[in-house]
Amino acid sequence: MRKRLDEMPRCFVVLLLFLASLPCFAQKQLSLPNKPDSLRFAVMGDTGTGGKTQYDVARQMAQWRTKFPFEFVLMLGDNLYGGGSPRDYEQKFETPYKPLMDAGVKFYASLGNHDDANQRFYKNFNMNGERYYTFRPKPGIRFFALDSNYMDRAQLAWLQEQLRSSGSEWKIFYFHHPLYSSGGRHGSDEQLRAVLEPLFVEFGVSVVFSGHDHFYERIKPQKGIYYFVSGAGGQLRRGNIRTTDLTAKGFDQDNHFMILEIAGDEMYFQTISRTGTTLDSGVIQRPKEDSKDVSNKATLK
Amino acid sequence: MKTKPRLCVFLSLVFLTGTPLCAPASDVDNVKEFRARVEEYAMLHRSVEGKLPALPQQATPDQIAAHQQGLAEALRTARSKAKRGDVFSKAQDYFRRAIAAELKGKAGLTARQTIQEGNPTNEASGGPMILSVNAGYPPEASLSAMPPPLLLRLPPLPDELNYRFVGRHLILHDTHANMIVDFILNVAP
Repeated sequence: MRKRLDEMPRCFVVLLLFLASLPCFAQKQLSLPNKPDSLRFAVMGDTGTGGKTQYDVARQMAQWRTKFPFEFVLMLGDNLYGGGSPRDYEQKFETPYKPLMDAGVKFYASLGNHDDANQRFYKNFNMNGERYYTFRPKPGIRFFALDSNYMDRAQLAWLQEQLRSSGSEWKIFYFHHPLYSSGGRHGSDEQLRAVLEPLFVEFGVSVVFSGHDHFYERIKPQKGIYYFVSGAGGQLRRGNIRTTDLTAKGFDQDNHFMILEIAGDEMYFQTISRTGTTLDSGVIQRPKEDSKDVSNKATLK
Repeated sequence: MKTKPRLCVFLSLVFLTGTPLCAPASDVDNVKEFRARVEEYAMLHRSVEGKLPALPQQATPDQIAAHQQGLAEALRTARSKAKRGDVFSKAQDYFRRAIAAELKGKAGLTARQTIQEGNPTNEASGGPMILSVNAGYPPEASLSAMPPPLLLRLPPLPDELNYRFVGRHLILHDTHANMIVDFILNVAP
């Protein structure tokens, strides 16, 4: 005989409700290990609209930071759309990310095609007046920001020199134009890929973050390098991911940001939507320093 | 019999030196003059910028805006008589040929696609751009991507200047002042 809900034991009802909510609940859980002494950071791209969705994502970032205290944020370009007046900085950067900046989070920007080159002087973008730069927040981990709008010989020479001297540490790149992307509007920048990929492969770059296409895509490893397209921190182009062989995971229905953690030879990542749902997660294993494997590249666990 | 070895040596030298077979001898002089005029502009830029309050590397938005505006105004005053062609001068034909070599035909398809990326005539950001020497580059307009092989082919520029495309036109863009320094019309195929 069927029992009505109000006739069932109370503890059983509670259990049912709990189980019913479990998938949603799990999707809003942190999947990063939060290990002591690890490096924690976030990534966002194409943010600077000043619109509601940018503010929504910024609020999510602040909320997630309470459980995962990332130290800094990489910005993948198109940081300010429509100009660089003081008002633009205020509405499209300072206001939405004020809670993060007040908490001491630093932002490291790269330049997009909508960005005035003078953004490199803005104190809160931490570019120190340079279009391209590198920084090392922790021993063994080096980040490189490039100006993918203007890959001239001076920048290439700088890049080669920096890669030669960087040793066997984590080498993580971020710049605006994706070398690999399934975007219908922009897609892969093959000309940029032709000059950068050989260097990335030669010098053991592990991960590359780019924006420009307004969605999320984790690309299948290309010559051992992991590429992420994260260009929907404010902008969004719904339905813009084409079906290609490149995609390991894609999402183009809402905005997102990423949080990441590097602990030793492992990089954990979690991609979170504007509404706080986990879209993707995983861990990238960097090969050991003394590995003699000729395919000595990062692998996804 | 003697003609063949001479032809082989000639073709080898052409291939190894990268000298285009049909390049006019004046290209070297014209590009040299272009580089001299670019350097002249860069010196003027630095002289003008040196008279303004220095922009700190950790600047506020107000400082950035004031510096850019002050620099642009000062440059316009300093080169009030500047006109189209003053910098590119006789090298315009060289630029047309160099760009055509990178962009034309099947081989140039990717490069042509690249210059459309961010090209302000393709982006829905404000009204049509008006090209004029000393005019400001509209702050709401995006910047075209530049094919790296093309940048490697063209004469290098100082930090103050970039090559950019607006539609099919090539401009010299002062990145500090956000200003158009010179331009060549209809240069991309």
